[in-house]
This record gives sequence, structure tokens and C-alpha cells, in this order.
Amino acid sequence: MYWYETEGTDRDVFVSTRVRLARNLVDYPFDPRLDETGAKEIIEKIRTVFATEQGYTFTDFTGVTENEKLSLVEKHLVSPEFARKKTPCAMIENNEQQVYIMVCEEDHLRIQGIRSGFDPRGAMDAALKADAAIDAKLHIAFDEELGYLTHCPTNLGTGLRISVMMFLPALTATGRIKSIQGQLSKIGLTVRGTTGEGSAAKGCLYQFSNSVTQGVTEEEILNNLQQAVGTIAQAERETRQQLLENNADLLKDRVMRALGTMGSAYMMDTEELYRLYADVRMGVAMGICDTVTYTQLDTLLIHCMPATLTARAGESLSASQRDKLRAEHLRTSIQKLC
Amino acid sequence: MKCTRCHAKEATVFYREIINGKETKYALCNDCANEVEKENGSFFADPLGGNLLGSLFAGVTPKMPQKKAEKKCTLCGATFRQLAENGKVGCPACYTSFREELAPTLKRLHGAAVHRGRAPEKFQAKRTAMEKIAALEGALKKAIESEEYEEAAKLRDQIRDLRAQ
Repeated sequence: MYWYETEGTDRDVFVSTRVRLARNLVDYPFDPRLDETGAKEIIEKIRTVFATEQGYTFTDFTGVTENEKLSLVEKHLVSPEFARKKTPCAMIENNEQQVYIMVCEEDHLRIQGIRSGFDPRGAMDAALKADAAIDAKLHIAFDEELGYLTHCPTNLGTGLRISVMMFLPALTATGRIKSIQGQLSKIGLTVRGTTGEGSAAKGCLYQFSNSVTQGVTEEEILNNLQQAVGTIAQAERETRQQLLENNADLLKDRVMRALGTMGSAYMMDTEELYRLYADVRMGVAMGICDTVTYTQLDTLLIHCMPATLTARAGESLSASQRDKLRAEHLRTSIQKLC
Repeated sequence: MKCTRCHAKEATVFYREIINGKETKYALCNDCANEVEKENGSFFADPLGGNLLGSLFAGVTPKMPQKKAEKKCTLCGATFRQLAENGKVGCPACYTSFREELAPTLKRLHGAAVHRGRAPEKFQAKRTAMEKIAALEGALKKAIESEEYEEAAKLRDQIRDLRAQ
């Protein structure tokens, strides 16, 4: 099952946790100096490593359609940059669908562990297991002083980025999120929108991640992030409680209207879906609505994204055809639950 | 406000630096700002500014002697000027080939930090051995001080064996 289809810890505030390790092979340059032959050699070396490891599947991205690649981006399994690559690249995933390795992304290897809810340790352990398998068979670029050597100097050292996707409707509605964003750099954190760098926070979804990678241990990065996002989660929960105490009827009306629209609309674009998703998810978190679960809502959101919707349809669709199919999928799903 | 470096002239450049969560504020006069910039590279580079990384590569300025900029990486053949233009290194060996040139950039990005995290297995084994040697050397010193020469000889042999590995 994909991460969003599984139960997780503290789903009221946390949607997912992703751990990424940047690793590179010695003797090979980085893109764009890496030619096609070099990229194919790296891919073959990684394929060989995982051919003898239990429970991993190799996918050559040459044979993957553009829409399938975009669908993987929508599921947060590969980066948008990786999906856009025109040169040889590949993906390894484990059978539990918790480890995704991008081969020949910005770095030769981006090893990712992904879990539902808040579980940095689980995601880290999954990524480190794959890392150990590679380390045992290949020569990884490392310097005793600088740490793991990466394409971009900002990732040097541990090469570790822990990203936590948080659902923060109350902090967004009250504007408190802005003051939190302003203080993040002081504690070595950055925040991005839903789909990564430079993207907007649709659906009140924010990705928080560590910005410091060198001079600290993996454990320190994890503990620092855990403490920071824990404080943000507490602020979100307290603000939700205040909103509920002061505007209970208005909030109930908003949540149930959103659920009603989801279950009855005949056309719906992604912008509207994000708004309704945020309202209903907030209703679930506040105990206003118990018709749907976090898992069902998060799954619905991803299944209704353009490329994933198109992949399910099995044919290319115009924007209005997608809006119609999206509404139909939501209508049938919500009506089944009610 | 007076310059916090020379304490004489009026400060005109105000700069706040946050490295590993530690905040440092500077208020400098023009002359001091120019001197510090020569030592450490430009003040105004944004460490997390995506494509702005090119400007992070301190040391490469239009005034940089052409000869120094044309040194090439032993593996990928990139020059430091090319690295500075791209904001990224050409290959893992660039970090060795341009260690000196990259040092100011890395210092600004990560502070004077040295890697303390995990390491590939073979480096980890070496790191463990070095830690053992340091502990044994401490014990050896104590043994010599307390005139336990038999124990000291044993410790010396253990250190020698570990170093040989």
C-alpha cells in the first residue's frame, strides 16, 4: 500500500514524513557533465545491487510515460525535477512501498523513506537499510571532514533532509503561520508549499524540513526537527480549539457544506478540491465530521490530482473532462461513505 | 552607529548571519565591509536561494586572476569559474581539487562545521579504530605516570597493532 493508504501517527496535524539521503558514486561526474554512458553505468550498478536484495523492484524510467511520472510526483514519491529528466534515470522501490530511490537525479542517488503521519524514525530506518545495501557493494563519495559529497554544497555532510508535511488550517486562517515561518531560520528549518520548493501551500499543507546538514549528526537533525514541528503541532491544536469555542456553528456549517459539495458536485477543479479537502479534514480533526477518515481523505486528494486521475481513466483527458471525472469520483466515494 | 570592527567610522553596512541556529549581527563601515568581503566573500549571497548559489562561490569575482580560475578538477575537468557559474560542483572530486577555493563558501553555508554524522562502513571502521587509539593513548599516559611499565608496554603494543591495521 502507498503511504497515504496506511494509518499513521498524529494524522490530525501530520500528513506524511519523508527522509531523503543524498549519495554519490566516486569516479562519476554530476549532471550535466555525466554523459549517457556514465548514467547508464550508474543505473546498472544500482540495479545489480538491488537484484540480490530481497523485496525491491527496479524501474527504468525510459519506459515510463510522462503521465505516470507526473502521477508519481503527485503521490510525493519522486521529485518534479526527476520527472522532467530527459537523460537516463531509474527508480527502485521496496515492496512495502516505503522506500523510493531516484537514480541519477541531481545526485546519483536520492534514497527516500516515506511514512504516513509523523514517523521520522521509521522513515529514516527504511532509508538507512537501503543505504547500507548500497554502501556494502559500491564506493560512495565521502570525505572525513566534509561528510557525504553532494552535487549541491548545501546538502554536504549527512546528505539528510527530513521533510514533514503538516496540515495547518487554523494557523493559516488566523495568519499565525506567517510569524512561525519568520522564525524558522533561527532553528535551522525551512518551509515549502505542497509540492516542494517554490510551490504554494494548497490545502493548508506545508512541508517543513531541516536546512542544516553538516556539523550535526542524523540524530541531532531528527531531534531538532521533532521538537520544532511538535511545537507547531501544539500551536495548531490550540488554535483549532479556540476557533471551535468561538465559532462552533460557523465552522460546522463550513465543514458540512464542504462535505456536501464533495458528495454532490458535477464539475470540480483542483483548486476547489484543495479548499474543500482542507475544510473537511479540519472538520474531522475537530470532531465535527466522522463520515470520513484522514486516510480516506488523503487518498481521495491524491487520486483526484490531474495525472493520477488521467492514469486511472487510462486515456488522455481535457481539463473539463478531468473536472467532470474528478467530481464523479468524489461523488461516488463520498456517497459510499455516508 | 559606529562600526563594530574599527569603532571609528559610521556603520553603513548591517548584516545578520545565522549559522547552525547561532545569530551574529554586524554593523560595519564601508572600509571594514570591503575588507571583510575580501576575506570571506560577498555578504549578500543567499545560502538557500536556489539558483542564487552561483553567487555563493566566494573567491570568484571578475577581479580573480585568470590563472587561478583555470585550474581544473582532476576527474571532471571543471574549472572553479564554471563551478561558480553553475552554483554546484562538477563531480565528487571537485571538493578535493578545489578544497581551498571552496572553503569560504562552505564556511558560510555550514559554519566551520566538520562532519559528525554517519560514514560509509570502511570510514566508520577507521573512525572507531581512531577513537580506540585515543582512549588507549590516554590509558598509556596514566600507566607511565603511575610507573606501571608492564601495563604501559601492553597498551603500547595494542596501539601499534591498531595503527598497523
